[in-house]
This record gives sequence, structure tokens and C-alpha cells, in this order.
Amino acid sequence: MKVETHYYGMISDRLERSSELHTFETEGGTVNLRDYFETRHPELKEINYKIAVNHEITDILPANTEINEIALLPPFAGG
Amino acid sequence: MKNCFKEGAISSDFIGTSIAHHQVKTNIGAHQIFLGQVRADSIDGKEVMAIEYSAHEEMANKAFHDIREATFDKFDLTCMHIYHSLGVVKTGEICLFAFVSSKHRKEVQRAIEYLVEEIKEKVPIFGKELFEDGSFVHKVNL
Repeated sequence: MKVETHYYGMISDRLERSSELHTFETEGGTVNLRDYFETRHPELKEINYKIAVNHEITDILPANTEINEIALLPPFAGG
Repeated sequence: MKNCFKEGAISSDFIGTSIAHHQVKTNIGAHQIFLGQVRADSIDGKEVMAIEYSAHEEMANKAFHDIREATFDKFDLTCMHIYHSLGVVKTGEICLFAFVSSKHRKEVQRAIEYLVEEIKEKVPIFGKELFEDGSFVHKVNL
């Protein structure tokens, strides 16, 4: 399953891209997304961030679930 | 889902007009308004000229919606309005306009504090503090 992953704020600047496609296989079980992204982009280990799957905050990609979007969200700065 | 974002600064005209619209709601006895203003912080000897805001807009509007519902549940309010800027807002300009109304002052005083803290903690909005020389740092809410 190919999933569009969106990067925001300082993560987008650090990775020098606002999105990319990732392929996940969830038929065999869950995927730890934090481990997955930090393996591919080790610079993420230095950033405090949250992961959203289909707009819900979680580190775990559930098994056998249709995923429309993943977002990596750095610390919030509204107000 | 209501869009709570406005491109650029929130003008004093917009805020004034919003207040004026409540003159027909004569059951209201108290309004409380919070205005977030971009501050000219000094960071490593350089002064902030503006903040450039971005957001996960769909998640942010859902978060605004949920916060709004929770605030209505917790406090006896007549109405509530929330607007936040996207894009560049210069120092001295307004980036957040939160407006609650009720029959009595204590409800709105408590509600506005809850509302603003929830917005700062739960809405995925991101900010770059821009300096005159073109450099920037990422803003993080404390």
C-alpha cells in the first residue's frame, strides 16, 4: 500500500521536502511508524514530533487498515 | 467544517465588525476577547520581524471544531468565534482572535482561558520567526 506522507514546519525544512510516498505492508501486522521514519530519516531523532494517521495521532500503523494519509507534525506554535 | 483560518493578519476592522454584529444579541451581558499579537522577540541578537504560519489545515479545523464543542460543553456560552492567521503576520499585527460571549462575566473569563490554552496545545499550527536578514527560527509554544 502506497501512502502519501506529508511533512510540516521544521520537519519539511529539515528533510527538504513537503511530502513523499511510502510503501507499507500491514497485512502481516502493525508497523511502528516512528521506527520506520527514523530509520529512513535519522535527522528526525533530533526533533520532537507527532505522527498522524488518517488525522489521528498515533505511532502505530494498524494491521489491515486502509490508510489515506500520514502526517509528521512538529511542535505546535499557534496563537 | 468551518474554516477558522484567514490569510495574513487579522485586521482591527474585522475584529470591530465582529463585535458590532453582536449588538442584536441582547441576551448577552459579557464578551471576552483574546488577541494574539506577533511579538518582536530578540533571538541571538536579531529581532523578529514577522511570523510565517502554516498548518495541517484539515486537522487544525477539526481540532478547532472539537475545542469549540468542548468549550460550549464546559461553559454556559451564547456564542464563540475563533480565527487564526496563515501566512506572514508582521510584528504588532494580530494572528489569533478568540471571542466568547455569555450572559455573565465569570463564564467568559473562565472560558477564554480554557479556549486559548487548548488552541495552543492541540491545534497543528506551525510558525517560522523571520528576521530581517532572511534567516528564521521555528517557533514552539511553551
